[in-house]
Order: sequence, then C-alpha cells, then structure tokens
Amino acid sequence: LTTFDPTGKLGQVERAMEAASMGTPIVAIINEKSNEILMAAPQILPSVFMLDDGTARFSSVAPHIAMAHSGISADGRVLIAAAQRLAVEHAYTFEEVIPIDLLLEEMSLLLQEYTMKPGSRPFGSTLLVAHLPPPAVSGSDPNQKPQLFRINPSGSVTLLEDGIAVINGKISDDTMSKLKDLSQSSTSTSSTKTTTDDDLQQQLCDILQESIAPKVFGKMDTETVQLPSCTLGASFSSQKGLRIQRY
Amino acid sequence: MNVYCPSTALPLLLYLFTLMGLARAQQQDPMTLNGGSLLAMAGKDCVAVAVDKRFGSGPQMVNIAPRLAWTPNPQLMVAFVGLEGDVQSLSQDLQTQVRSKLNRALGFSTSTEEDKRRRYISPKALASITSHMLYRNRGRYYVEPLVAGLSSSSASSVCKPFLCAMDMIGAKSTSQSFVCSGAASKSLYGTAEALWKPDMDKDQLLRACGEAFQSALERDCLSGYGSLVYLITKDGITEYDLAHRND
Repeated sequence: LTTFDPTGKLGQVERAMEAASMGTPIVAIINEKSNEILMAAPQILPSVFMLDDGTARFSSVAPHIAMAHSGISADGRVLIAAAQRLAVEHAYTFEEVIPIDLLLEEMSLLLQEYTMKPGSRPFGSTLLVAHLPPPAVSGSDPNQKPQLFRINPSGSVTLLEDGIAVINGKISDDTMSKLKDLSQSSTSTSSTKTTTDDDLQQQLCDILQESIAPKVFGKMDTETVQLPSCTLGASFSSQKGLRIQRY
Repeated sequence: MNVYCPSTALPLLLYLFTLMGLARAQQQDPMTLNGGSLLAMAGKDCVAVAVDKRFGSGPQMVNIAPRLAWTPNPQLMVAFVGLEGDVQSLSQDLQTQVRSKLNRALGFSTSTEEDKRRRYISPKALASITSHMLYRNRGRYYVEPLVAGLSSSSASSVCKPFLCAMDMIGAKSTSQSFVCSGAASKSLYGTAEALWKPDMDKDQLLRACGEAFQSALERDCLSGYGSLVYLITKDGITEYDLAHRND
C-alpha cells in the first residue's frame, strides 16, 4: 500500500518509476508517409552463447494498436496481457476494435488501482503504446492520426510529440533531429529523400546503437547485442535486426 | 344442499369447466399484452423509424403514449416494444451500460474540443451490446428492440443506413430495406415490402414508412392510436406526428 509522505509524494510510485527507468531503451518513430510505426529495442544478453530470452518486448494488442514494455519484464507481461484482454472483451461486446482513448483510460485506471490497493505494489514497468489507425481519406479527426503514448507506473498517460518516442534512453539533440529526419523520410521512390523499408530499419538500429545503447553498454563488460525491431504497418511484424558484438 | 343431486351434477361440472377454460384464455402472451409496434425503413442516406402510441392491457386501452425510443446520438436510435415493464428495465440497463463505456468524453483524449472528445457509439456496436444483454438474461426480457441509424465513417461524409431488429433473446436480423417488431409485425412485413423502394429520398421515405405503418396498424387491434415517425438524416432527427383511427 502506498501512502503519502510529508512532502506530498507517493514513495512507492516514485520508486516504481525508478525501477522502470532501469529498463532497456526503446525507440519508436512514426512515418506518416508510408503509414508505418517503427519500434526498436536492443536485446542485451549476458553471454555470446545465448540466443534469446523468449520475452516478447513488442506485442500486438489490437489490429491497430501495439504495445511495448520496459522495466521489470514480469510486470510488463502482466500489463500487456491485461491490455490484450481489454481489447478482446471490447471486440466481443461491441463488435468493433477498441478505441485508443478507451484502452488508454482503462490501462491507466489499472495502473492507478495498484498504487492504492492494499497488499500490492505498483507495476515497475513503463508502457509504450503505438496507435496506427487505418488511413482516412480526409483525416481531420485527431483520434485518427497515428500516435505514440507512454504510460508511467503511476498511471499517467502522455502523448509523445512529433511522432518520436524514446523510452528509458538519454538522447542528445542531434540524435533527436536524426530521428525526426527518419520519421519524415519517405519509402516511395518518387520523392527526393528516398529510403527503403530495410534501410529505414537499419538507420533506426544505428541510431539506437550509437546514441542510446551506450548507456546500457556501459554497464556490462562483454555483451552481445541484438536489435530486434518491430514494424507496425499494415500488419504487425517483429523481426530480428542486426547483431552486434562487443568485447 | 338441494341442488347437489345426481341429476344436476353434470351441468354444474360442465359450467365449472367452462369457467376455468375462459380464465385460461384470458392469460395473454407477455409480448403482446401491452401491444405496440415498430417499423424502420432505410432510404438514401436516411432512415425513418415509426413507433405507435397505444399502451394497453390485453384488449383494453390504458394510455396513449409513444413507444420508448432512446437516441444515444443524433444519428442513432434504439426503439423498444414488448412488455412495458421489461421495456423500461432494458432501456435503462442499456443506457447505463453504454454511457459507462462510450458516449462520453473519455478521461484521456488527444483533443481539446468537447464534441471531438466524445466517443459516440456506432450502430453496429449498439446492436451488439443490446443483443448480448438480451441473451445474458436468456428470455427474461419480453422486449423486441430495433436499432436504426446512420453509420458514418470519419473517412467519408456518406452515411450508410443501418437497421437491425432483435427477438427477445437477442438474435439480430439486419436489413438494407426495413425491419419491424411488435404486435402488428406480421402485417408490417407485408405493407413495408409493398411500399419500400431502394434509394428513396427523405420525403419519399417518410411517406412510404408512414403509409406502411398506418395501413398495417389499421387492421391490428393491439396497436395504433397515433404514431410518431422519426426521420434520421446526417443533420439530426425530426419527429412527425401522424393521426390514426383511434380504435
């Protein structure tokens, strides 16, 4: 049970956010031209003999919503499962995909509940929610734009600006601008700045490796880093990126 | 007693049996006890819903009051007919269920404008939840609701008519032309079939719906005493009051 301290802070919630911030960094960009959201996170393994730890960092919650978790994996798994259950129950009752604001509201209520529940602790994991609605002919409805949200262990939901999300990573200004460029580049061959899908992924991985992963690299002596990235486009696909080895 | 002797026993028994038979014949089917009928027709980008005004108890007329219709949003209507007590309960339950989840400005929304924050329920979703609610109670609600509205997608300005009638355990039957419920439904199927044409504009639709409804109700003693025809277009709902022969 979390109680207020004399300064007005919730101790357990602060500590939960601290725990969540120690998770692996995740980077996401929205590419509106190709109507895609690209997400990437490094996978740090303690030994070169290990291939995978089996936890899906990115999961599909609904046909238009994907989620990633960072922090305590076990807590993250529970939250993703809860989101998936909410989406399925909504589809069963209303025969429609769950609206993003309804999902966010219910998830934030769930996280908040655990900051008040006796005998429980808050979730120690941050969620990244990627919403990719089907493209609209005349897109004037703000609820129909691709968006990225972050949900904190306290339950607060933040809309991430500019179609770029960095969870648990410290980024410099020029990395930010590199990410911005990436999110604006087009994958069609007709415009001046052209990149292919694989190229886009490669560039994202590079940014992740150069700028963000060093924070994590610094903690371990030898590691093998894989960069599985996940594309939320017409279909949700998760694939392994390049594999980096550091000694 | 003088009367009770073998020669008069048989006529006395016959008399008693007839009385019992009459008493059983007075027990009426709960669906038609209170009377009432509904008809909904689709035109080009518009829908008309006709409800009658007779509230009775078997053959006796009790009150002239239109059948209950709830409009969650200006392009959607759900009308109820059947046992009036169940109509009131079901409509209140349905309103509570829908309002707790949708049809309100949700806690988290990316828009600051009030009407954009409100998430309206779609006709299909409303039909779905009504159907679930009826089936959950497995025939304890003697109600046959009717959902009629325009489903507008944000991508286009075209509003497609949506019509759905349900039986008392929630079996949905959708139609592109017309649906009907209530005591006069058998007659309504006939008159509506005769008068419906595809792609009617709103004046033609109003006329066709009103005429079909009135003709069928003239021959039904359990419905009538006036009717209200609601015309649903993308601009909202207009109510028209029609007079009937009051018997």
